[in-house]
Amino acid sequence: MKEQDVLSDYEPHQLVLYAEKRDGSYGPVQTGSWLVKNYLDDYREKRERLKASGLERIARGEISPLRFHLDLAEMSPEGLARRAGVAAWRVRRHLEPRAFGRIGLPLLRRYADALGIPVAAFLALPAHGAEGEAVAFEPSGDPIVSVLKVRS
Amino acid sequence: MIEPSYPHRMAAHCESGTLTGLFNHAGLAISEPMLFGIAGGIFFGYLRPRGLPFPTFVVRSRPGSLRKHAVARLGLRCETRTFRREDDGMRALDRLLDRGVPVGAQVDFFHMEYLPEYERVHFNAHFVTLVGRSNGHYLVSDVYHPRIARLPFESLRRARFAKGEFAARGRLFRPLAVPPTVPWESAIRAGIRSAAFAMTRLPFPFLGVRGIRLFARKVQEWPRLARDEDHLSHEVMSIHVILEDRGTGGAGFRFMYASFLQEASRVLSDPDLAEAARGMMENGDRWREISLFVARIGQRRDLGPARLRELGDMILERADDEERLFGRLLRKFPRQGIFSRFGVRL
Repeated sequence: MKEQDVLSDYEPHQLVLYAEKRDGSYGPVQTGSWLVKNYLDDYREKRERLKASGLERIARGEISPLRFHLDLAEMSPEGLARRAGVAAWRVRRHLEPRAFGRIGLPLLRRYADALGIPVAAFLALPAHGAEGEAVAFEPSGDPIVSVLKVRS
Repeated sequence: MIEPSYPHRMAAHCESGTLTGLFNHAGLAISEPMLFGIAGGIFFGYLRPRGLPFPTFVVRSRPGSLRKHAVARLGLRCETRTFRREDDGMRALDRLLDRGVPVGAQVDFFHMEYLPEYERVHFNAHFVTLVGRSNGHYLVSDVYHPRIARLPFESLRRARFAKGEFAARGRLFRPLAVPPTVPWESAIRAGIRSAAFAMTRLPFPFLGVRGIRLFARKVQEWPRLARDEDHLSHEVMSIHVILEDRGTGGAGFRFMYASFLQEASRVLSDPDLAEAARGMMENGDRWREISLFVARIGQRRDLGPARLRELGDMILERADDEERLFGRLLRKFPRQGIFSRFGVRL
């Protein structure tokens, strides 16, 4: 592909592509990401809808918070099992709300570490206020305790 | 604090870019495509890994194989270590950094906090160069980031020792010595041969050009595997991410490979390879058309059977072209074994 055809002007996300230069040689070109520039909003909308429907299903008692965070992380139960060092059948069991309620704190911490989220995110549902403020748990120095932040 | 004198440069792909940077620093002048080609990095495979909830495909050889093959074919000496205990791994790293030695490391992509959050997925085979440290932070030269970044101690520890598929076990590597003369010609031949063999001759229906054909068929069944329309659209658009944005240099490494073939034709003074480079570039252009196509239909949710069949047909054409391109390269560099001595070509 010619150099001018791969160039995309998007400063926040840079990457290197290989393309044909004007003199016919092939070489690296630094450019913005075409996909992120044009389709990031679409990606975010899909994710927000996935979150919203997941939260509804948790509230109705259909799925456990573990299933919710697993879908968000695009991981399979087997993948989480290997990362957390837990048997796959146990992870699959904990996708059900009833079995999830019997997990102890040490195991919950292992799941949280493997997913890269704070423990508290399993225990409370993030909500969006009408004014659009975002609520999120952020890690503190302590492995269990996390800080609740509200950004408007 | 030690000021890093390491020349940071962005590159197309994490493993080949990291290795190129480290080898250049050690005194071997090599470009990223050259390293990628010599290591025989180009590939295709349609996979359904247990660790992921949806089928996926790869466009490169197994993580870590670029390092192994490049080091062997170029005749470098290289030190690679893994660690059982996290503390040992961190201490070994600190000792090297305090001596001012840049070190390559394998990490979990998710913990690279300086990258945008939409990009950070759990993937254990990301490669970065660590170039220094200062009170509680490491200085990271990541080829996907325009500048040297800072990463907290705890994040790097988690990234190096994350478990799961391709677990890094704290893997560190650094080149020790560069040979006085590098066997460029034999390295290039071996690299092209291994890649062409992997693309055309592996006896599995999901690898090489057969994998591309399987992908063309299976992508039409994706609607049955997806949760809902949003999910299907996300997975279809991630075809673009895998081909273009996730560190491939565009068109699933096909552009970078074309650049390698062009450079190889200069080194070996072989016009056939220049011809192959042009063919590979055109092939890459068609792959990029597929990328743009999936982004468009994904966003419009235009994912009916007819559209997916159209997509499948575009992918099938890639299989035919690549079978021809790599078949020609394989015939050009036949195996140097006992069979070829008797005039038998495999």
